[in-house]
Amino acid sequence: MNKTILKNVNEILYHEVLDNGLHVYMLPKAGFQKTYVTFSTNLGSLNEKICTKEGDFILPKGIAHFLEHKLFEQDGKDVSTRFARQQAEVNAFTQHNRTTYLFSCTDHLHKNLETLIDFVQHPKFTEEGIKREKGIITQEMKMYEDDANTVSYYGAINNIFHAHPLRNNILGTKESLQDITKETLEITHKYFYNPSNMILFITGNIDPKQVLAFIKTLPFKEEVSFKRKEIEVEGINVLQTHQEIHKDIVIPNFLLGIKQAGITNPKDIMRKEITLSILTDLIFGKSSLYHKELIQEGLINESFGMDITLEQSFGLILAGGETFKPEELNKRLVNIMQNLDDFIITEQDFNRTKKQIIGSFIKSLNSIEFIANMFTKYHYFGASMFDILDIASAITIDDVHHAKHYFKNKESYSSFTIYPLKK
Amino acid sequence: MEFIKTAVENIDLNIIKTSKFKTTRIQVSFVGDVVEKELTARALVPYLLKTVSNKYQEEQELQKHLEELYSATLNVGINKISKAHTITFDLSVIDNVYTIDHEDLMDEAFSFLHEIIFQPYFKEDVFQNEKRLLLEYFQGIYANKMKYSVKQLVKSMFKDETFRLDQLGNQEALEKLTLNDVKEAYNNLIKNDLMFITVVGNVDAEEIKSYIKTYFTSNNVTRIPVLLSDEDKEISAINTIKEEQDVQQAKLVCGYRFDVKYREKDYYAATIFNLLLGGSTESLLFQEIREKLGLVYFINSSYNPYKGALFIYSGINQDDYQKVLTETETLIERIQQGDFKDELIDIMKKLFKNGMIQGMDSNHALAGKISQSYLFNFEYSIQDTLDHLERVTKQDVMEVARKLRKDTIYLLRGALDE
Repeated sequence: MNKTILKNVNEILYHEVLDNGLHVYMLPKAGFQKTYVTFSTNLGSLNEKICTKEGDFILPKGIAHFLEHKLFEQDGKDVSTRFARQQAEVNAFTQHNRTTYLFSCTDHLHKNLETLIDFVQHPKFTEEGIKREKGIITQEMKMYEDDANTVSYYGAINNIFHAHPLRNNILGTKESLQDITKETLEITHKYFYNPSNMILFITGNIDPKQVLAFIKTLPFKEEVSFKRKEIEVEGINVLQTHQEIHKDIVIPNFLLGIKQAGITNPKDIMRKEITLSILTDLIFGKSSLYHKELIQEGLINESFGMDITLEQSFGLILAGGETFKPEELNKRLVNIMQNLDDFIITEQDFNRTKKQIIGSFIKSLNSIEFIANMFTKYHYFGASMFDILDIASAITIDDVHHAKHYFKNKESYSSFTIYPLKK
Repeated sequence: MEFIKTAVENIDLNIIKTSKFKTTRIQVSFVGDVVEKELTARALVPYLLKTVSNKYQEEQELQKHLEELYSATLNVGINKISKAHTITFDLSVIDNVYTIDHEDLMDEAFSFLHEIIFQPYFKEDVFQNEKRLLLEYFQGIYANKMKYSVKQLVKSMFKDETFRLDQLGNQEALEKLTLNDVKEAYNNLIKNDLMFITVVGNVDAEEIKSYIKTYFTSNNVTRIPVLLSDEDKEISAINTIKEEQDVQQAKLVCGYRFDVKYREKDYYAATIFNLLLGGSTESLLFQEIREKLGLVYFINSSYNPYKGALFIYSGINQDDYQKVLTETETLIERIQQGDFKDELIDIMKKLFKNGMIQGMDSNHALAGKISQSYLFNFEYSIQDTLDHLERVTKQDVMEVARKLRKDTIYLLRGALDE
């Protein structure tokens, strides 16, 4: 077992790769009562096709999410009851690049770990359960169709990317749900739930040695080899620069996307992510002049936010929120971002952002949920979240100036607006 | 972890001393009555206070100062406990050991809290901005169909009671508000509210006391406002409201009178009842209506022990309206008659226990618990709560379930001619 002492954050991280290839990470948290465990695989809505010994297999859209729902049912029984009996609460979520199963418990850690590995690794689907699940997921889809933020997110994504699978809705479509069967679920599970694709993160009230010894006694599924279809990386020009729709809302919902290139090297992902977040914070953060102006001009409110997502196969900066003046906001944002050459960054401003990064990172370590989820995210890029402070401290003011060019390309911009219904 | 209840010159202070967090959370809370005509002005007070102050007359300056304190997070919490209105200034700073030069952030934190609360700088442009932001918050609720539906139900179900009032006031009052109204509300708050301080972190009690002594002065108000609702109504007929919008999913909210108040004799049985009905994934509503019938993606219940009310929320296919209502009624009757597995009571107890112990790992939840026990004047003890919980029997749950009185049904649906 590898032990890494993380001196600057006062934590210890344990790591071991089991014989079956599963990565086990443990981070004991002194004084904590609960233990939080995540078990993740890198299957999400980005996965569309795999090559196997039995031939190619095309994944029905939404199957990662469907599988996440359906693993909970074992022989017609909801596995959450088993966790509840063991003083634990179980949950799961599906993202574009991974599926995560999790529980938090305040007792019976070993039994709960056993239950987790058992239900995630050894599915027992029933035809009837699958049929019923389609009704539940249809309701989930309808819920999101009424959610303006989700609609504008997918609207923007579909305008920004030409063919990248980020366009796929995580839930799939009403039509693709019909292609999901017991068989397709079993095939998807058989390949994507190989322990060697997976990471188990355990944090909280634990003794790493004992926990690891116990995990080694658990039955995991057998490894079956396969190959994923590589995602084709696109250029940074968007498919469509603007689109608007109408929904039953009062304040228009506006989202601007700026497409970025994919990045191969994991450390470069983190470096660009931090540099961009320093830059965008200096431009639009609450202590910035532009923030003041945008508020005073009535262009933004508390819902305004920015998000930076960078991965191997794509990159994306999003900015937006609710605004009564979406066209003006669009013009202002684009104008600001495309004319950054004269944007002044003082030494004092820059040093302050360093303090902000330390403060925010340290604060986030109070949450063991955050630690497990962030760690898993970076693990799949081949990086470690605990490198954030070191990478950040090496970033110079020149790096931040240099990052301005990521906003230069006019063809990388795309905006999406939801207006209220015409009455 | 150590709970310390103390006071500094008439300012009550609750400290939770623990080294498990990397930050210290400081809350300065004000508690007053919910007074309808002043509510909106009062709600705007903390938003103005946290934006500028006498020392930081521009928002940018104040924000820069927070950033210099390693992104100290300043939040204001505005809540109501049925008849009382609370405003909390909540500041978190990282422990000094994580700063670059081992700076002392604690003194800065108390000094800053004092600055923003007691050295206000009221100016028209800040007021106009904050007014617009709150206005857009109210207007934005329409886009959140679940939140909107609950608001509509509450407005109608409690139309003659204090509980109908939102903790942030309302849009109509906001539109008429002037800066003077807010100043007046501020003066009332400072003069007439009960103020107390809560600190969670790796702190030294004597040190905290000395900061409070340095920066804060008591207003000598010691009265705790009435917290629990004493209003009720006779239900002659069930109030049904149907509203139409352009939505894909219908939202159904059922409101019940449930006259069991916080820490009353039946309170623990009521809590278990709520978990069993719809407060967990093991609940009957979730297991029957979602898992067995596949009718919903979400359905849950929540119990407000300060008001004595229970609500059931779900997103449904509008054609299933009657089905979901009938099924809900059947499940409530089944609980009343004890027609459910005995084991479920034990499972609900475990879920409750799990949730409660987990709360100890969040400095926010801890601060909330300790403030609650302070306001309700009891010693917070997990063991004590667990003992109460253990004594709840299936019979108790069946009996408390019979106190449920259906009052209002609210349905938000799409067009009928689809």
